[in-house]
Amino acid sequence: MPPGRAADGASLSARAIALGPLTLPPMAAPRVDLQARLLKVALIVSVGLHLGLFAGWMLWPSSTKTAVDLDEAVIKTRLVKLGKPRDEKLLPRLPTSPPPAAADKKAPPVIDPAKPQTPDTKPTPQLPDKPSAAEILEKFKTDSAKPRDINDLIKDRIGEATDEGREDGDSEGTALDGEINASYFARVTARIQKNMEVSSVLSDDQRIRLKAVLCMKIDDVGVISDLNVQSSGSSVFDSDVLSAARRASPAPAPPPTARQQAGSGVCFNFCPTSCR
Amino acid sequence: MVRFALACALLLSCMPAFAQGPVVGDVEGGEFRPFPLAVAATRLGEGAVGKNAQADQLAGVIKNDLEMSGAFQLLDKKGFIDSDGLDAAEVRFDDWRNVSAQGLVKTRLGLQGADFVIDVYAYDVAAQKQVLKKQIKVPATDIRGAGHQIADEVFRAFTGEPGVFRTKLAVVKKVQGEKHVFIMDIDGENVRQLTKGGGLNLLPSWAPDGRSVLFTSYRYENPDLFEIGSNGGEPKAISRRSGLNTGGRVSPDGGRIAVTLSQDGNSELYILGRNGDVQKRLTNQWGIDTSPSWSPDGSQIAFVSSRSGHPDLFVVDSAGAGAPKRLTFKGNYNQTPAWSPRGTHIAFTARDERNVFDIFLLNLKTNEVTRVTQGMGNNEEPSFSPNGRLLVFTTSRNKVRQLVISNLDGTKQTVLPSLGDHTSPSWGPFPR
Repeated sequence: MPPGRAADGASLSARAIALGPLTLPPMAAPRVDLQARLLKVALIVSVGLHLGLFAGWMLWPSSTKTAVDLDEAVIKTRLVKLGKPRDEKLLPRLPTSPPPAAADKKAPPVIDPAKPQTPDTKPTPQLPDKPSAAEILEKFKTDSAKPRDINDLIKDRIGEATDEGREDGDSEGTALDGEINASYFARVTARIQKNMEVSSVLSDDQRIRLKAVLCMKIDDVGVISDLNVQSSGSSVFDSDVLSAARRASPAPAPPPTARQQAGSGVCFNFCPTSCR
Repeated sequence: MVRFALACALLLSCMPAFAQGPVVGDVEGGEFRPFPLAVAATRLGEGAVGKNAQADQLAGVIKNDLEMSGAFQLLDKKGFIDSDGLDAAEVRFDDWRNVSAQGLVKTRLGLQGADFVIDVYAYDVAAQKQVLKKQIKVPATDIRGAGHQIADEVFRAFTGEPGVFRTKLAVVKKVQGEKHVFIMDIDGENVRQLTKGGGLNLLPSWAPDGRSVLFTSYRYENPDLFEIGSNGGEPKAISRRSGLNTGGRVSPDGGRIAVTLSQDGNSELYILGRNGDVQKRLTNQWGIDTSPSWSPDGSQIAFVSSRSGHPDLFVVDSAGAGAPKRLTFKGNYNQTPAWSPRGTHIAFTARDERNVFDIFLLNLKTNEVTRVTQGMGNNEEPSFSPNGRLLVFTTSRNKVRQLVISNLDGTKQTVLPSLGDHTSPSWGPFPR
């Protein structure tokens, strides 16, 4: 080892001993205090923000319900394969999935041709913001709708009480009454249709020829009673008709405008194939 | 006058308060469903003590026939107790209605000498009405025949149409390296061999009177057309021209035979007399024309032709007037047409895009094609029952070729238990 280096190391040690314990320079102490305070503030702000976010997440109204509401109607879905429609030159295939839902739940409103329509010379003023008959009927179908709601809607639509009739209406009610009643009886027809089963023992001739007329009463909650069948000539088909009506009860409850007619008795034609 | 008014008032007061009113809707069509029918166990009557086995067999045949028709849904015997009487006055209709029976059949087996005497009762439960009361006498050895006869009677009572349970099927079965024509009941029982010798005997077809069967045989090293009595015997040659003599079908009036001949080098349709003389050449075209099937009135013949580039169904006037008209435009392999006895449909075999053969129906009024079978192996060679309600065809759904009895929408298909490899079934006419 060179003698000069040994001498330098010895001199450094001697200096350290002379200074005593190591201390910071006099200007460093305020900076440390400032950093510590800033750190504390940052920590507090951070914790506060996190707590705020957590509280916000907890208290924010959720758009989806996490609990199962047993009163809510079950929505049935069916997966379908999207693609091109089947080539018309191919042979048909039998359906492999269940048939589509019955039509009675969403039966389109039907206008009764028997009811007088508004003459062209006196068009009924209809504002676009007025509820349509279909909307009124839709409201009627919801469980929460009360008869009073329906009456209010009807009144809103035509601007006057339905039971008084209109200038261009008939003695039995307004055009809207007929529209609603026709829609209602279309739904009852669809419900009976859904429950109609025709016995396979009917011959081809009978399937074309037979026609029965079934009359019934429908009370305010839709219960069908007082069935009376005007025979088709086949007791088997008559029995099919009666069974369909029994299975269809309760039918949809009639709207206020149709209660009297439904309660006093209405009739339906029944045909194994077509009534026309 | 006062008495009359009182009588009217009394009559009106007795009338129930039925609902009446305006017609507010039409309920048209509906799902077709089998008619719920209870067939009670056969009771033992006079002289039939100890004949329980025959009574069970009788009820079994009746139930099997009616169920196979697809028109009835037989109620499980565990679902009801048959404790009431046989006559209308003794039947407790409410009890039967409570077990969901719409129809009811009761039978009683008696024995007189060598014959069974069977009392048959059928009721429309909903209408509480007797629809059949009949006594049938059959040889005691033919209890199955009695069951088929009763099933026919019951079918007619409820549908107004004749039953087909006593008709026969002709079918080709493979036997020890040869193929022979067999005849059997429509439930696959009572099988008997009709042809003997000749190696290959194919494509049987009943004459409309049920007394004979046409078939093609290679007994002279060529596919020739023969006719044999339905009770057997020696076949009679109808056409032994060079080339094909196949697919012979007797006309509904029994006077003519439609057949495929290739005597001129190409398969063409001809009309022969019953003794085999050529009366008319129906087709004259480069394509193969084969498999004729008569319309019920005998005025037209459906057949298969390759003139469109692939096998399709065509129809031609049986007198040869006009050009053949194409019937099928879906699929590219349509064959073995069978014209419905009602004249409304043609059943046929078609190969779909999955290369599977299935049974289809062509509605002659709407030209709509509907499928009868799907997803159950290959199904081929349909033949209509004489009342037009059922089809018989072959299937490979259980690996071997079996026969299936099916209704026209395919919702009720019964595979017959007959063993063996079956092809080319032909449904015979009503018994005479």
